Amino acid sequence: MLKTINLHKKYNDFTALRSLNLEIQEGEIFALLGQNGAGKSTTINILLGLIQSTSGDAFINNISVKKEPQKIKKHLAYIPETVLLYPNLTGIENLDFFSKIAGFTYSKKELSELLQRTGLQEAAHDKLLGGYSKGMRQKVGIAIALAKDAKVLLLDEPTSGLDPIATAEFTEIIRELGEEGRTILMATHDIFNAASVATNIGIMRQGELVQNVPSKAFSAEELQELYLKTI
Amino acid sequence: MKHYLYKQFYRNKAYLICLILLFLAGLSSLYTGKKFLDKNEDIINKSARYQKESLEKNIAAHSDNLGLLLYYVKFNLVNKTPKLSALNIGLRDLKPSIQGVTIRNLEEQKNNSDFFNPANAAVGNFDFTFVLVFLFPLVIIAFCFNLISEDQEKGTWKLLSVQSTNLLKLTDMKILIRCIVIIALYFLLLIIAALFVKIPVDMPFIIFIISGLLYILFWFVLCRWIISFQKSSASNALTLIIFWIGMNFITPMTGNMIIQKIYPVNEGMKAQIEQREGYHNKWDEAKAPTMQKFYQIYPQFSKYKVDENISSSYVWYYAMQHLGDVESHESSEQYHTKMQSRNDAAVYLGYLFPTIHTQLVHSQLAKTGMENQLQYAEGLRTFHEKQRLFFYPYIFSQQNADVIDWSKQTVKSFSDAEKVNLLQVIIPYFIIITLLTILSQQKFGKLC
Repeated sequence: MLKTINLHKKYNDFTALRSLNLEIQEGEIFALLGQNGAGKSTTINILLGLIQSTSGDAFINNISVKKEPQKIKKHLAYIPETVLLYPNLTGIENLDFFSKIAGFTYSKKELSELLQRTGLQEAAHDKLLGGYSKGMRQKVGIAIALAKDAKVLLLDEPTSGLDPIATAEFTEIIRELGEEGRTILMATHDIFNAASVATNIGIMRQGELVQNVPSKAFSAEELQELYLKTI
Repeated sequence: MKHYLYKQFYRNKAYLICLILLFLAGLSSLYTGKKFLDKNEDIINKSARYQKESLEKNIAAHSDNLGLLLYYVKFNLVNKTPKLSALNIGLRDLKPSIQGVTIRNLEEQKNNSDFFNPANAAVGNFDFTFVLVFLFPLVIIAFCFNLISEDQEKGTWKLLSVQSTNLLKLTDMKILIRCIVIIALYFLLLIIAALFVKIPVDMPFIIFIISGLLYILFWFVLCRWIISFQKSSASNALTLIIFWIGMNFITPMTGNMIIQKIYPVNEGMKAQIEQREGYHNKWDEAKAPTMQKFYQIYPQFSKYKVDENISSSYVWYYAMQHLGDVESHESSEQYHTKMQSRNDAAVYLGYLFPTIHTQLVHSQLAKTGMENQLQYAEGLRTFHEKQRLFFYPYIFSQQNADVIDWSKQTVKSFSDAEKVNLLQVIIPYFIIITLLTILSQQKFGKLC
């Protein structure tokens, strides 16, 4: 479960986030839409514990992000917009490395299965990451998140730069994870993708959550209209 | 996880190239040191033969005139050169390891030395200490300057921060891997040195190793502190290079200037002039005052009288020579004291700067530093005095060369008995390493 209570972030005179109140239950996929600078990434970075909020707090599975930033790491996984890994390690080695630093040890077979689940071809597993495409790196990033077996997933523009097939594969994985009961917060520009996979949609404008609607209540076109009207 | 950190390390070709270059530099320094040692040993071995030949030649020519014979004959005193000096040549390339003196005025002879090639009087030698003090830190900087910033700049830091609950441990592990590699290279070079140069594994060598090890650790801890500020790679590299330049060049040069200012040493020249005047002027003075002074110093020779009207007398001649030393003695002592003070000041400065401390410790252990030179100078004085007092009775009683057992007049050795205080070596390193560790821990507390 993920919850924010009056989450506020200010940089000198600039307010990046205004009293954000959000609650995402298990099994829910929440898509956060908004223009660049609306506060989507700031929200995610605060939830990750990478930056501190000015006031308010956030909770991951009832653990305070402000008070116990190290403890929440065990409960969440993160897929950035651009998955940057180590080019002089192979795909499977990167997965193993990032799993181990999170405290998880898998056999080579298990690691391979994780990568296959994301759609990464077996032939690519033992190739150095320096030769991977963006989509392939993204898949390793997903595998790293899966390997952590975290209940809460934070995704920051995860389909940015992916081709339609890769986007579709990714969307399917997210849907599966949602059905497994995980709590997913996804910041995105892709309204249509959000409409197809999310259970709830939030629209942010100038640091404020101005709309919070169930996605089933709108078609993709209606959602687009609502988005354009809101921002 | 550790083996991936190793993989990331050794798959980086730039790191391997650095290590290879450092290893080659180390080998080159060992070769330089061995060459120096071999040359030194060759000279010392030849000196025994030359001294014997010189003795035989002069005995043949002046056997009935001992005073004249001993005017010419030089007796050599070797400043024992330990094998460890191959790793730290120090002052041994500029100052001779062997000096020959007649029983005449010592002060004049002390500063006599053969002409040397000024190209050899370079700023430091490319010995092992040079490689350790100057080159090892550069490689350590290259390995460590971007341990955090590289991940931040390449974007992997965010994922690392999310995945890991202990980024400090991860960073320290990376540092540890690099430290192990550098220390392994260090020991490899020392093993090669021990075998190639045949350095005995005695206490000085062990302290030499420990000192080098602590110096390496200092640089790793310094790097750890600088990267804890989490600045950019360029900023870290620049800061560390500034430290390197500051500690290796600016501080020693500035320190040297200040020390020379605080302890100006004019007594060397003064002693030279005093001994020269103290001896040469006596030719124009009455003999009685000269002999009176001489007898006061050596009452045992007062039975050897000198007639005022006699044109030449070896008793008077050697008394004049001796008084040249007597009259320059105070200046000579002051020179010695001030040079010692300069050396002590450098040692105290070294307590604050590991670069200086390491060089001084190594030269002290290898008997190649100023301390050894000053001890050798004292040893030469003692040796010279002993030779004088041995030959004076024979000369003064006008005996010939046959009465002396010349086979006993072999090349003698001086050994610097100075013991190195292990605590004095180690404590300065520990203080600065501990301080930097505490400072970096404070900074690392903010590590996400």
